[in-house]
Amino acid sequence: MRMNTKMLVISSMLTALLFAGQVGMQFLPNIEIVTLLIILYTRTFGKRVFAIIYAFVMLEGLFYGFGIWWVSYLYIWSIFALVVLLIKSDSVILWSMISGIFGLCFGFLCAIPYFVTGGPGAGVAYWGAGLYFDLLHCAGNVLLCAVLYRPLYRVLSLLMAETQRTVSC
Amino acid sequence: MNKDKKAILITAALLLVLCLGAVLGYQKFAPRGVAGEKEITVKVVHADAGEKEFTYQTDEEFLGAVLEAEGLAEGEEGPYGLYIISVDGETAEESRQQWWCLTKGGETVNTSATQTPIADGDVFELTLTEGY
Repeated sequence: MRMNTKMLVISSMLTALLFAGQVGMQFLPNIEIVTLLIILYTRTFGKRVFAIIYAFVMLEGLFYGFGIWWVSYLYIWSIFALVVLLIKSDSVILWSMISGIFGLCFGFLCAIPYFVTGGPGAGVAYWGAGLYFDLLHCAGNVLLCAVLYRPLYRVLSLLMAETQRTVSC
Repeated sequence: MNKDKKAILITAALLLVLCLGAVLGYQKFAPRGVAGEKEITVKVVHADAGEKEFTYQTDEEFLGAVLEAEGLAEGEEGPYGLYIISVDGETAEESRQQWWCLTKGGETVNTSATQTPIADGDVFELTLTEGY
């Protein structure tokens, strides 16, 4: 996958936006904009999203520390991006529901390292304790996606079109 | 029925099933306190490895309420409950990546002190830990 200078700069900017969105909303319990931005980045930039995801994951580790939770970030967002890559749809309703499902599954996906390191008991305890927050995560994702998907997708599509136009000039 | 409508229906059904599963799971696994008087012990391990033990008789159902009522711990209310900053007069320094690690009988606790239920005879440890 080749990435020219302009694309590299745009990817860095989008990574910064992703990180700022996460940090800026961290005071809200499991209400985040990362899921929506990953959907939009994947839909707009395709496989290039993985470079953005891993730069974001690295920033998260540097900012919050490389705890066990960080291990789960190494696969959670990539799995989600892969799912988004497989689905070809423009329906806001569909993307809202998919982001809701992802919110519900987030706790389980985060619990995997605990299943591995502490056994089934530790994994279930971790997952069970966070189910309330998974429900909040689901509701927040559905709402944010329903409201912001269209306007943000339009902006990113324009950005991508402009990038391709200037690169081909 | 076009492809999108079919996908929306399937996804909606999946979302509904998962939501119901999460609600049922939460009812089954959510941390619950026990009513009645109980005695708990909190061991505090300071940065210099010095240990202090505190024993409390309480009617509270969750650890966070006991720690705050007894003035042992102070912190900030975050989205997940009390984020402990100071214990027994010692403050965790963020610049040194210090934080208060809560364990129960040496085992990791997956809830904040606010959400950690207590039972008679429970022993908790609060250890000032360096490095995230």
